[in-house]
Amino acid sequence: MTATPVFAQAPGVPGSAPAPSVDPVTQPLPPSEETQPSQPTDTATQPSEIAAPPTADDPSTQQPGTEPAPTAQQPGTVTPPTAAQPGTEADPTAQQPGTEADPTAQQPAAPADEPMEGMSDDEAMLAESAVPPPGFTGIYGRVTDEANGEGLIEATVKVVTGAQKQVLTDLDGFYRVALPPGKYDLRVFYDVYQGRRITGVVVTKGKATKLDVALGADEGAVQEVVVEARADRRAEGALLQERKKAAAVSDAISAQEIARTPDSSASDAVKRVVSATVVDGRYVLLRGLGGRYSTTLLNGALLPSTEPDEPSVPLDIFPTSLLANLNVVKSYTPDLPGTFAGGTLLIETNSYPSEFELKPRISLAGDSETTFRERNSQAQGGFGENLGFPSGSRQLPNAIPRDSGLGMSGESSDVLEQQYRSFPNIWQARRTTALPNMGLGVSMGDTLRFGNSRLGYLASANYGHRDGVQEGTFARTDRDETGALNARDAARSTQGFETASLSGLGSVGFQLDRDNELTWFGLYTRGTDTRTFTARGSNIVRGESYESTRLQFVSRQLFFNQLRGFHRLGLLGDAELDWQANLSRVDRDEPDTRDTLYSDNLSAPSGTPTFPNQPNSGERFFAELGETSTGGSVNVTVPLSAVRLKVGGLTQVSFRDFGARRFRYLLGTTPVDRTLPPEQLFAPENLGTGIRVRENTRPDDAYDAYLGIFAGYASADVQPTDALRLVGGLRVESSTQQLTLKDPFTGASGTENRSEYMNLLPAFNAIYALTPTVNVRAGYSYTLARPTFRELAPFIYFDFVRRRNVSGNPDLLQTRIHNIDARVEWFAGENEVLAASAFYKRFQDPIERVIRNPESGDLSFENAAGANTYGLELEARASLARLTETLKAVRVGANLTLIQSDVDLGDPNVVGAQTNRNRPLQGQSPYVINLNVGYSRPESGTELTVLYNVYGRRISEVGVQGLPDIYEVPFHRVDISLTQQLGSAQLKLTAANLLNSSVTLRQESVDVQTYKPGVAFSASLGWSL
Amino acid sequence: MKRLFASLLTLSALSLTPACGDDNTPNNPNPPPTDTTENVSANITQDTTWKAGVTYTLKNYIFVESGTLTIEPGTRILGDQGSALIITRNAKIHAVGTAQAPIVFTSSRPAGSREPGNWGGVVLLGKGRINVAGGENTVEGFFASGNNPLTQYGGGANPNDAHDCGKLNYARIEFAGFELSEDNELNGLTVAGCGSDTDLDYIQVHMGADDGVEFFGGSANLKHAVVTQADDDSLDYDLGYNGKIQFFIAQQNAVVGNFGIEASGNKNDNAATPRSAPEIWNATFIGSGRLAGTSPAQSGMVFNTGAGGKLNNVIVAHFADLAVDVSGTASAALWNAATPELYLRNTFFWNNRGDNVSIPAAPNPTVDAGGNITNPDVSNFNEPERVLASALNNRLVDPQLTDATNLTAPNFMPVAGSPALNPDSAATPPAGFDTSARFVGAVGTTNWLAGWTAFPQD
Repeated sequence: MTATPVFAQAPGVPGSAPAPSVDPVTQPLPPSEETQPSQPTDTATQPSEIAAPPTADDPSTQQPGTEPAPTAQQPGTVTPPTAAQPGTEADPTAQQPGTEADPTAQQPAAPADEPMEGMSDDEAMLAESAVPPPGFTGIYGRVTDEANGEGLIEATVKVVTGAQKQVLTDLDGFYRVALPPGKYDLRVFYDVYQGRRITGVVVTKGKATKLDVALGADEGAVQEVVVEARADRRAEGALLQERKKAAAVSDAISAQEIARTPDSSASDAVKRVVSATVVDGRYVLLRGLGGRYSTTLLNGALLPSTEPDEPSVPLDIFPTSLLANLNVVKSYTPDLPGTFAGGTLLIETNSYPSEFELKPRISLAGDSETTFRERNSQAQGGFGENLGFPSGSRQLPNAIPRDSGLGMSGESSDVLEQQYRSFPNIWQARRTTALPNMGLGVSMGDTLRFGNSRLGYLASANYGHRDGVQEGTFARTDRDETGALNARDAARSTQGFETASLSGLGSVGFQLDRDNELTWFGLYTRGTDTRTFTARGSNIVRGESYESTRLQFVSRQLFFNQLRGFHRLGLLGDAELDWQANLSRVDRDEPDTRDTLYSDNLSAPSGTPTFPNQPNSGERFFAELGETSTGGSVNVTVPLSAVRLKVGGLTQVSFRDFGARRFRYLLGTTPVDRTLPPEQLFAPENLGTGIRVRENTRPDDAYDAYLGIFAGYASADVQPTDALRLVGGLRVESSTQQLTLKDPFTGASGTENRSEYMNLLPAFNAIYALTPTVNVRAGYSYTLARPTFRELAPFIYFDFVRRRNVSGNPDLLQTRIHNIDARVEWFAGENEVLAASAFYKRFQDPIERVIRNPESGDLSFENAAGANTYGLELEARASLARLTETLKAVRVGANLTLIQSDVDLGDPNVVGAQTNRNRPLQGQSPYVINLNVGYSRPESGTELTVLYNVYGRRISEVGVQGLPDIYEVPFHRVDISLTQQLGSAQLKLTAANLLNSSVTLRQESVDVQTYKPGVAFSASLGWSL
Repeated sequence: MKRLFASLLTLSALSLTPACGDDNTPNNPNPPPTDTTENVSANITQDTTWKAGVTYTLKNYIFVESGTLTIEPGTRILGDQGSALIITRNAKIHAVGTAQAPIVFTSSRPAGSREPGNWGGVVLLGKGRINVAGGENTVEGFFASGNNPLTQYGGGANPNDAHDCGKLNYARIEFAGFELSEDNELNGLTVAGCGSDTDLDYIQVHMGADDGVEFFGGSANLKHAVVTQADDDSLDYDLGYNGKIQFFIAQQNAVVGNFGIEASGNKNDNAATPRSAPEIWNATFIGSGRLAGTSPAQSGMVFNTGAGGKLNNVIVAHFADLAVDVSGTASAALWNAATPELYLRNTFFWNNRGDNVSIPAAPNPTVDAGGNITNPDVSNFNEPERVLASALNNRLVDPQLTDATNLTAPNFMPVAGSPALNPDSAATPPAGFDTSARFVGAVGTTNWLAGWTAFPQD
C-alpha cells in the first residue's frame, strides 16, 4: 500500500497523512504558553516545591546575609521577599522537588487557624505607591522585566492559596495587596512573560512583607520560584529546567535548537534528541526501538499512522516552523497512553504569538543524486497533482462494476471489451529532468486582548514540491551445495519521484479570564506522491532476465481537529482541570498502481523481452483507506500540600475502512505479438480476445478495523523528605482491537479477529536530589504495545524493488513490556547537563518482521516469545567555555546509547525455523550516537552547526530456514547548517549527508539492497514582517 | 477390449463434435449438473461425506481441519474464485471415483467462460519429511498467516515418512490454481509433506494455473496422472520430495507452459537433505512445439537448486527451447556423483527445439546487477554430451505417439510398431512399480486415460 519502504525516503512533505487518534491524557499543554498561569506540566508546579520559610517574625531582619548570589544563571530573577524568604534564595535547585533546604517547606501553605474570610474574590486595584503606609499588613513589591529591570504595568499578582485576591501593578510595576497575617502562595504573571509562583510568603500583623518579582522569558534556574505558567518550551534553557524537574526521564529539543539545524521537518529535528533515530527519513526510533515502541503525541494527541506498511507516524509532515519543541519521554508515567516502550515523542506546536507576526519563507533545495538529472516520470497527472490534488484519470473507471468483480456478472464480451478499454493505456515510464525542490510557507499570528480576556491565533500554510531519483541494487541469497552464501537474482532499480504537499495549521486560543481557557487546534494536510520505478534484473532459477516497471501514485489527506480546555477550579487546593476532544479523518488513496514485467531467456537471450503472462506483469492495483477517529479525555490535578494527585480518563475509538481491487492482463485466445511494449500490447485493439483483463481481487483485499481504548488513571506525587520525590500511579487500560475481513464487492462481513485486553499499567518513579545540581532517578513501569492494523491485516502488498510480498498476520498478540530505568544527571550550568542512564526492558510477545518464505523473501510479522534489552545511555551538553573562554561560542552535545538485546524464541520447536535463536530483537540497534557542535556569534547573527548521527547495525528482517538475518548496516550521517541574519530576514544554508553514505541491507556478506540518498543542499530565506 | 472400444468411441465422439461443450456430448465423462446444490463455506472439523448427486460449491478456502472428507464417485465440486479445498495435516481425504464416475473438481463458472485460475485447487498437507530447517513450512499459495497450523505441512522434528493424506483416485481437477505472486502459487493439485501411504492414482489436472501437480517434500506416490495445459509446469517438485511416480503424462500449454518437470531442491540451501530425487518410471512429456525464444522458455525438464530425479522409460518431445536443463552446480553434482541421484535412462528425445540430432545445451550464466553476464556457464554441464552418453540408453528417436499434441482429444498411445513399445528401448521397473511396464512413455498398449479424462477448453 505504500511506496516500498526501501525507497520511502522522506518526501519531505506533509503528504503522508497520519491517522490522528488522540490521547488527551498526556496533554499537559494548554495552548497559550507564555503568559497565563495555566495548567502546570506534570511537575512544573509543585506547590510544595517552593516554600518561603514562615519562620521569620520580622522578615526584614532576615534578609541580609541570607540572600544568595542568585546565581549567574538567573540574574535578578527574584528579589527575595524581604520579610519572608530568608535563607531559601540561595538554593539554586529550588525548583527541584525536594531540594529545598528548609523543612518547613512541607507545611501547609495556609494554616487553618488563619481566617481568610472577608476577602473579596475579585478585588483588583492599582497600587498607588511603592511603599505602603505604616501599619499596612500585607505584601508589596515590584514586578519587573528580568532583562532590563523595568517595571511591568498591569501585571497580575494573585493570591492563590490562603486567600482569594488579586491586584494589578501600577505604571511603575509596583503592587500592594493587603492580607491578614498568615502564609500565602502568590502567582505573578504578565503577558509574554513567564508567570511565577511564590509559595509560603508570610505576613505578620502590622508589617508589610516585601516581595519583588522579575519575570522573563527564560525562567532559568529560578531560586524561590516555581515556574507557574508552563515554561516556554521553545527555549532550550527552559527545556533543561523542565527536564530537571520532570517526574520521568526525558530528553528534549527546543525550537531554538531546531532553528540551528538544517532541519526542515520534525523527522529531521528529532534526530537531535538523545537516542532518537530516524528511519527512511520519516519514522522515529527511540532508544533504538522501532515504530510500535515509539508513540508520538501531537499536543498530547496520539497519532497513529496511515501508512499501512509502517507502524508509526511519518514525522516529515510536521515542518519545523510549526514546532515549539520535541520532547522524548523515556520513562513512563500513568498519564501517558499505555503504548510505551522506547519512549514517547511529544510534539508541541507553536501556539499564538505575543504580538503580530507574519513570516513568509521560501526555500530551494537539491541533492547530488537528483537535481537536474533525468528521472523517471509518468505520462499522466496534470497541474493539480503539483498542488496535491490527484488527477481524475487515475481513478477506477466508471465502467468498472463496483458491487461485483469485473466479468463476474455474466457480461457480454462487448461489454467486457468496453470495460477493458476504459482503463487508461499508460504503462511505461517516461523521462524528465528533476527540478530543484521548492518550498513556500507563510505563518501569521497575533493576540488580541479584550479586558481580561484575550484571543490568540496562529495560522500557517505551507507548500512543498520535491523531485527525486534513487538508484539501488537488489539481490537474493542462497546457499550452494558447499553451504556458501551466494548472491543471486541481481537487479538494479531506479525510482523517480515527485511529491507535492499542501498543509495548513490553525490554532485559536481564547482566554476567558485568568482561570479559563479554550483552544482549538486544526491541522489539514494533503499531498500527492508520484513514484515511477524501473528495474532490470535476472531470476536465476527461472533462467530469465527481466525488465520491470511500476507506476505508482498515492494521495493522502489528514484532517485533525482538537478542542482543548483548561480551568483552574479554585477549590481543592487550587485544582486544575484540563480536557480535550478530538475528531480526525485520514484518507490514503492509491489509485491504479501499474506493474509490468517483460522477460527474456537468460542462457539464450533473444534480445527482445516478451510479455510472460505471469503475476506482477500487466497488473493494476487500486486501494483506498479511510480512518476516522474520535475521542476525548479529562485530567484533574489536585495540588494538595502533602501530595499532588492527578486523575484522569480517556476514550478513543478509531474505525478504519480499507478496500483494494486488482486486475491482471492475460493473454487471450487470439495470438498477439508478445514482444510489443505494454502500451502497444495492451492497446485497445488488442483488448478482448487477444488480451483479456481479469479481476484478481483477493478475498482478503477489504477489511474493516476498529480500535477502542478506554483508560483511567490515578497518580500521586509526594515528597517524603526534601531531597526525595516519589511519583507513582496506576493506569487501567482496556482495549478492543478488531479486524473484520469483508467481501471487496458486497461488503459482507467475513472472518473476524478480535482481541480484547484489560491491562493494569503500574508506574513508579523516584527522584532523589543528591546535591542541589545532581539528581538520581529510578523508575519501573509495565507498559504495552499493540500491533497496527496493517500488521494484523492479511492483505498482501507487492514490494516492487525486492519482488516480494508483504502481508499482515491476524494472529498477532499485543506486547507487554517491563521497563526499569535508573539515571543520574548533573545540571552543571545553564544549558549544560551530564546524564547517565541504565535501563532494562523485558518484552513479552514482541512483534518482529520475519521472512515467511525465503525463496521469495515474502515478509510478515510474528510474535517472538520474549526479549531482554539492557541499555546504557550517556548524554552531555556543554559549552566549551568550560575549557577556555575563547571557545565560549561553541556548544557541544553528545548522546551515546548502548543496547544489548537478546530475543527469546521460547519453544525451540516453534514453527518458522528461524535461522538464529540467539540474536538481537529485530529492529534493535546495539548503539546510537548523536553528536552536535554548534558555533554561535550573536553579534553578527551567525550560527553554524555540525551534526553527526549513526546507529548500530540492526536486524531489518529475521531470516529463516538457514538463511542469515538481514541487517541494516550503520548509516553515518553528517549534516551542516549555517544560519545568517540579514536584517529582518534569515538565510539558512544546509548540507545533509555530506559523507554521501548509502543505505545498505546486508545478509551476512551479501548486500541484498543498497541505495544512495545523495548529498542534499538547501537554501531558504525567511522574513519576519 | 470392451474398454478399448469405449475409449475409441469417446475419442470419435469428441473429434466429431469438437465445438460442443463437453457437458452436451453424449459420451461426456462429466455427469451433468445435478439438481441438488450445496454451498460449502465453513471449515470441516469432523468426518464428512459429500454425496454423489449433490453439486458442492466451495465459497472460500475450505480447510478440512480434522476427520476424513469422503467424496462419493461422480460427485461434482465447483470452486468459486478465491476458494480451495485444503486437507490439513490432521485430516484425510477419501475421494475414490471410478473410471465411469470420476470425481470432478472444476470452476463454478458456466462452461464456456471457465479459465485457469478460477479457483484454488486441491491441497493435501501431511506430516512427512521435508528438507526445510525445522521440518515444517507454510504451504505456498497462502500468505503469512503467522503460525496458522492449517497451512503448515511437514512433520517437524518427527516426520512420518508413511503419513497418509488419504486417497484421491479417478479425480479430475479443472481450471484451478492460483498465482498468489511470482513463485508463490496454488496449483491444481498441491501435495505437501504427504507420505508413502497416500494413494494418488488416476488423476487429471487440466487447465490449471501455475503447475499441474506440485510436490513439496514428502514421499507420496503418484500413478496414472495426466496434466494437460497447465499454465506453468506440469510436474513440479521441491524441498526433498522423493516418492515414486509411474505413468505420468504432461501436455504443455502453447502460450504459457514452462517446464514439463521443474525439479528444485531447497532454493535457499542447495545442500539440504533429503534431496528432491523421486524415482520416475514411464512418463511422457509433450511440449507445444511453439516457436523458441518466447518467454517463459518451454523446456522438457529442469533440475535446479540441488534437485535430482531418477527417470526411466521417458519420452520428451516437442519442447521449443530445451529438452533437459541441469541448472546450477548443485544439481550437476548429483548427476556427477558416484551414485547419481539425477539421471535419465531409456529416454526418447524428439523434436525439441526443432533439432533431432542432439539436445540443446543449457548454459547457466551468472549475471551482475547491471545485467552483464559474469560467467557464461557456471555449472559447466554440457547436456547433449552428458544426457546422450551411450550407457544411459537415451536416444533421439520419434516415439510415434498417436495424437499427443491434440489439445481437445489427445492420444498418448504409441502407434503400433513404435520404438517406444520395443522392450529393448526400455527397462523393467523395479518392485514398487508396475513391473509389466517395459515400454517407453506413460502409455503402452492400454489407454488408461479412457473414460474418465476430459479436455474442455473453457
